[in-house]
Amino acid sequence: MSHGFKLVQWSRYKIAYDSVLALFAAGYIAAFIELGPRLWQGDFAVDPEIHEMRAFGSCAFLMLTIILCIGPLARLDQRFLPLLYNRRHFGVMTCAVALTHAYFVIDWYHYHGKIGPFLSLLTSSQRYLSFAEFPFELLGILALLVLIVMAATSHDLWLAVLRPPVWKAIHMMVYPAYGLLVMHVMLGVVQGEKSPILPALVLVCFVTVASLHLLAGWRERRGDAGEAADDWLDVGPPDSVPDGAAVIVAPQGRERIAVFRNADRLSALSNVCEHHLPVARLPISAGGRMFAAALHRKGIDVPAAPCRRSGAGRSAPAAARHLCRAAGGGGAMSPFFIGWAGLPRGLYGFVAAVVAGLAGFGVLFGVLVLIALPPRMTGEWSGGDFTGTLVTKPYALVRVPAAGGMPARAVLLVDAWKFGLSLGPEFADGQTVRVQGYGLQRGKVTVLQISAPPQQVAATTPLPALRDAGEQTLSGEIVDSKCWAGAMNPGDGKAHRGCGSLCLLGNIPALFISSAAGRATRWYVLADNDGNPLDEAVRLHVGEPQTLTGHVFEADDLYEFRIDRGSVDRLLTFAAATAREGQRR
Amino acid sequence: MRLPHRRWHRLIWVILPAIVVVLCIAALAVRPDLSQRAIPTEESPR
Repeated sequence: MSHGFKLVQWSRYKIAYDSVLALFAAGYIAAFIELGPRLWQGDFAVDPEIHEMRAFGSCAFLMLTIILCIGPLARLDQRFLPLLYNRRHFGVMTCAVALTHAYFVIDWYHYHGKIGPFLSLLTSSQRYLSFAEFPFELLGILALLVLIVMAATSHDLWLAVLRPPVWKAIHMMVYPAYGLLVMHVMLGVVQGEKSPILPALVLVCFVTVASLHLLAGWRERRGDAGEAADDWLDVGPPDSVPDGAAVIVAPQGRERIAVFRNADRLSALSNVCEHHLPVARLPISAGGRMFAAALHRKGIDVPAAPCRRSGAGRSAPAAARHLCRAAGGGGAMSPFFIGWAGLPRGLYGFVAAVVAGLAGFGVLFGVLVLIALPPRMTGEWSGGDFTGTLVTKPYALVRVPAAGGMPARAVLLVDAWKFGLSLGPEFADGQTVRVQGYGLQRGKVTVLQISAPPQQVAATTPLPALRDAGEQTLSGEIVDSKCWAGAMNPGDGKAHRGCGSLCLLGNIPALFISSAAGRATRWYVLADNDGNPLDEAVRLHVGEPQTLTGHVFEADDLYEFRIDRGSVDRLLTFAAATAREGQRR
Repeated sequence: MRLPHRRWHRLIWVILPAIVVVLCIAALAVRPDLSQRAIPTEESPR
């Protein structure tokens, strides 16, 4: 870093600002993580890791919403300026919270699989041409990249290197980023939840931000329109500019100009400081040649050119009204915040009320998010010691005969993390084996994460036959059996899609959960027409609502749904669809 | 110099919010029917 730039120019106010901010964020996240499990108790409680990613994600959304409200609020009422000052630290902290949300998502959904976490994140869904199934993760990634770039350049050094127009243009990307974030939520978690609370909350936040900006812009529209001028702008008679303050005029199509008065001298300069803050809001108390110094604590020599057209144009009362508008309606010298000078006593109460109001809104926001995301029904961990007939296709499973009052059932075999069981050549269909491990039970679905290879305990016998139940059209959702059976809660839906995709890529048995209206939920092991596992293309459609036609084969303990990939348009990957389009041309 | 947020104000504060609101409504419209998720019993296979 070059001479003249400090990492952070700390002041008492900045320390207080950051302390309140850190307390706000930490309190929200801690309360969310602590209260969530208490609100939703029972066997089907949401996973703690999912609570954590929701806590950080919702906190980042809330913080960014507040940040984007501060700017227009400060333009509408100068008493909000204390919140505007040090907003950079607010943004950097928001970026840190959003990054932590991304870390939890990647760690829980995209690690411990067949491919690396970032490859999994970027390839778990490729439905770029589908609005409903669009990879919402990509929207979050883009928004996060904008926040990272903004946080990395939130320093005067970068302002000097990039120059103000470029720097400001980069930081204006926060508005598209907020739009991406809203769509990240709307096309992500909202798609998998029934409650209207979450979409309503997101829309209220977004409409509030947009409305405040529109309102502030509307209030300033006359000033922004400016006055047509060839050579001269009418400012007013010299005494219409109060001593120690400024009048603002706007040439048409250009930035505003602040005309300052210091005793008997008038000066004009661009109403934009190097941080793109309005200079004329600053009352000057001394030093006629150091106007900008009041903001930056460093000398900017302002040429004190004489007014070349004194006495012309606007009347004194009109100019005074202009000044009052520029100062926020409260008069030029009402209690006014200048960052390095500390918070004026007259603003203590107002700032405290605003902070309390924001804290109250944060509590309400967090509670509503928690209520909007209830746990789903899922399975639970149970004992795991079964003896039955081994089946190797489409997935490794053991068919356990009825015994001791327990009905016959199929036990799907999986390995640790996001891997299915790969059987060696010594295993064959029909072997009677004993399998042990950690069982997951959901309804009549049993999934066993084995702790040791299957042990052959008896001679090979013919497999119990499956009956052909004919061609059927079923509606439902493709899931990975391990998460759906209870390894995760929620273990289905769009938010879980990345994890389900990685699980299916790791050869964890794919199930089709049929949920036709008026019928109880049924599960089917998914296979191709020959009874083999579907290739990895199926992973790209996990968590989507599907209507599939295929052959159902059934027994007392097992349903198998065999489908022809080529006949199902929805199971075409984007790449395959693109290739088909190319062939047609 | 004219600030970017004044040059682009129509794009940022009028067109962008309008697009996002329309997309939000569309996202609600394509939300899948999740009513079946509430069924507490699962009976497959029989």
